[in-house]
Amino acid sequence: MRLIQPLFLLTVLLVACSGGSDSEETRSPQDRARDLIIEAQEIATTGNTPKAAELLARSLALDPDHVGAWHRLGEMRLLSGLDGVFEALDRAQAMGLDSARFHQTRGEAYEAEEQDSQAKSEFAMALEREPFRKEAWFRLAQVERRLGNDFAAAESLAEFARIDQAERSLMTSLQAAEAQPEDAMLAAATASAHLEMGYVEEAQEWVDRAFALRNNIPEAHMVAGRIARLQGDPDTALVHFELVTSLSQYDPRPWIERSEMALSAGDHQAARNYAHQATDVAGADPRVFLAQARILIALDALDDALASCEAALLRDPKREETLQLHAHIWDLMVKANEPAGKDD
Amino acid sequence: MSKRLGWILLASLPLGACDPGAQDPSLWFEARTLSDWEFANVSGTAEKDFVSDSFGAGVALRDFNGDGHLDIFAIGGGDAQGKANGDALFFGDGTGGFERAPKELSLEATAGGRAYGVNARDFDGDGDVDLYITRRGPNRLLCNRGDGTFEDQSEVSGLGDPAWSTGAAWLDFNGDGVLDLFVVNHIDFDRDAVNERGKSLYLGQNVYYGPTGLPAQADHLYLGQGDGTFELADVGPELGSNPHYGFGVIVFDEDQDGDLDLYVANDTTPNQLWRNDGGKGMSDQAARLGCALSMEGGPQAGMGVALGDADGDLQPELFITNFSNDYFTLYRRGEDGFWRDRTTRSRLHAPTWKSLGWACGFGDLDSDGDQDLWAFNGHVYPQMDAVPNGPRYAQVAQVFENDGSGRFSVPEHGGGPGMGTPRSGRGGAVGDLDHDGDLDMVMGVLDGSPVVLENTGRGGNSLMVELVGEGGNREAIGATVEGQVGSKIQKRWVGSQAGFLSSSDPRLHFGLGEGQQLDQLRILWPNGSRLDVGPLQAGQIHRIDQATGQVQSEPRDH
Repeated sequence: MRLIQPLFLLTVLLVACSGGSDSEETRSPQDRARDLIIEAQEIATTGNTPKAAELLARSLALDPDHVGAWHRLGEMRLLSGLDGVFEALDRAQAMGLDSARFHQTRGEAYEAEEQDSQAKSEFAMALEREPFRKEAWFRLAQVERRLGNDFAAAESLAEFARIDQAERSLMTSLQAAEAQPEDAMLAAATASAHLEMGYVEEAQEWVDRAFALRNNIPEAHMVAGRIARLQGDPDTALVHFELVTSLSQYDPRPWIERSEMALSAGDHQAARNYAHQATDVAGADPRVFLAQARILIALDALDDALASCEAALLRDPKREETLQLHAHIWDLMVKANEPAGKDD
Repeated sequence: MSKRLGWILLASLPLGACDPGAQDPSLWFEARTLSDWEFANVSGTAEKDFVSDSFGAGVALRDFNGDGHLDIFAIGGGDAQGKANGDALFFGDGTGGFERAPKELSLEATAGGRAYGVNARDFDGDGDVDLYITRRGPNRLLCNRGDGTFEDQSEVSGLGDPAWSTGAAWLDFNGDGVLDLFVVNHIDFDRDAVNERGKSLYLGQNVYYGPTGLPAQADHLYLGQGDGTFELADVGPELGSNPHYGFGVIVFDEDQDGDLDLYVANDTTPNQLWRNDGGKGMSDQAARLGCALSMEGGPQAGMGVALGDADGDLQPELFITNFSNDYFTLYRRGEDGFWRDRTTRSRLHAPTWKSLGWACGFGDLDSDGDQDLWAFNGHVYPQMDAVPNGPRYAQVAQVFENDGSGRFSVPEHGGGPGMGTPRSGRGGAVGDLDHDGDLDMVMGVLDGSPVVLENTGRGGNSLMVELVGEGGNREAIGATVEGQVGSKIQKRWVGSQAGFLSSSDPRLHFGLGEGQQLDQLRILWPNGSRLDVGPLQAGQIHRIDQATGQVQSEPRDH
């Protein structure tokens, strides 16, 4: 009996293994590779990135043409501190991968190698492809700061913070709007939150829902105007912004939008006037002066931009974004006053 | 009779049990719990109904009675009704055995607060080790009479900070030769108000509410007046504004400008790097310099923090323990003054992802000449045990072996059975308990007795350096030391408190591998003066006096 039991078990195991082999042989390498990728993804969520990298390498041995697996292998090796990160990423790139996430990974890989200029370039490419990618803004801010570009760092960090806040607002407003589907204000707020995250189609759906419930919500018109601007329809945008002003006269945002539209249209005087209207209706809000300062920089009115920036600082002396913009305007003024170089 | 028999061997796998022919592993810890002394930490309810129940259990490893052997001080905590549990002192016999000190040694709990952490330092420069105990309620300053008995100086000193304090670090902030105290505070906790908020939901389980959503309390700096009293310092508006949920704190001269700066690990809020402006003010530079947030830009749940040179480039690294499903962070300071998150590069991302860490530290645990890492872990929510495939409430401790270049790996068998037993680890301290030349550890366990982790690995040669500073800063807090063996230099920072709410033996341990001596030791004292000594022989403790420049060497088991 002592002998029979192990022999029986061995037989069962052999049968099971041979059955498994047959089954494996009948499946294509691509199928087996795909299973390994799925397994790697599951394991990666548990934090075991070295194991995930190992599975991906096995997957790629079966199906070396899987571009996503090469990218993922690069990611897993990077997280695990393993060698061969660029080798994997280069393979993915050679196969045509050009996504925001791919450039983000490359940026992080360069950062790990302390090659900040290359990292900056990759993060910028990621943001060209996906402007609301907040992790890329954060990484870019770190890199810019190390490169000595404090203004660019502050701008990137402000964008990161804006998106981070927008993400949270979106979750909150979605929960509230779903709990109270008949509330037009909540629908408008949800539309706005979607737009802040760059989700234009969803924003349009929610703004339509808001209008179906009530058509005199300023926030809904604000969102509708911004969507029209994004879609290249300034006339419709203008109608909505004027409605916002008529419904909520102390809202500075339509004036800032109109100022930017005038700037794009080359009407500098109107741009300046609308920017001043914005601060006239919301004189306590430092962010409005900050927006005004940016428009005045674009108008090359640096003295006025500096004054707007100082007005923002008076209202919020510690805001890093304002401090950096103030320093930036000074730099621009110094450069503008430098004597021009010789043509030869 | 020695009460060494009172040690309970928790796990006793023989060395090389997995392979009888194998060489002893270099990193191997055996555990014994000090359970025979009617002492266990107590921390609120079993279900941890409040955030205040979820941590504590700080420990200190110092020679309190001056007999040359390391003793253990352990925080008692308190029960669900808010009644404080007395702390405990265990005198060591130098062989690894401990005996609990008599209760009459002024270590009973005092009313009005529940203790969480301890800083054990000679704050008054009289040659013995004093205790500063952080509590929810007024903190306690206990001055050592020289024999391991203590006198409560909390009220007289002005250091009875009434906030809920966690970490604390002594430092000479203003360079006047008198030690000052930085106290890290946590939550402005109102039990009734928290009760009204109900429970939070985490992984489908009802768990305690907080800290997010509760008001934080600002940290405080107290300046020593030189007469045993302290005054709350005005170091500018930044310290008091925007408070965080503080935990671990370390002191070092981060920007190398001659004064001591502070790094504070904060729970669920950004970590802070308080740069000292010549003793006149301080400003948080962590966000600007890159050591406030995770690599994705979010705040982590900073618990413990440690400082060391992981890659041997003489630049400091910070190691911070965090929540589970997140990584423990390793920041490296570059020569450009910016801190970079080097966790992935150091191979610490994957092995720390599942752990919820507290006490941590750098230490050459195998005495091979580089700095390894350790962390004590345990989840905050007992309810996690009900989550399928979720994190466990009790967790294993971890050691990470340095390959000499700043890349870490989990050693074979996880560093031995002492590390591999799941516990509610919180506090932690390091020192050579049995004079055998390697670093042992003590773990403060929530709702449990302290655990001694005896280092029984196959380590290299080593020596200890004890610095005796001038004046009030007798333990030379803020000094940096570079020990050279051949062409290799090991750097150490003499801190005040490290890890999580705990105090380790401040003597500096240098692993030498096969080497027989440290060729040279270069000391930069806190006041900026320098001293070079050496060679220093392995197997000895070298006591170096700043005032005289003399080196007194004696065998470590003297």
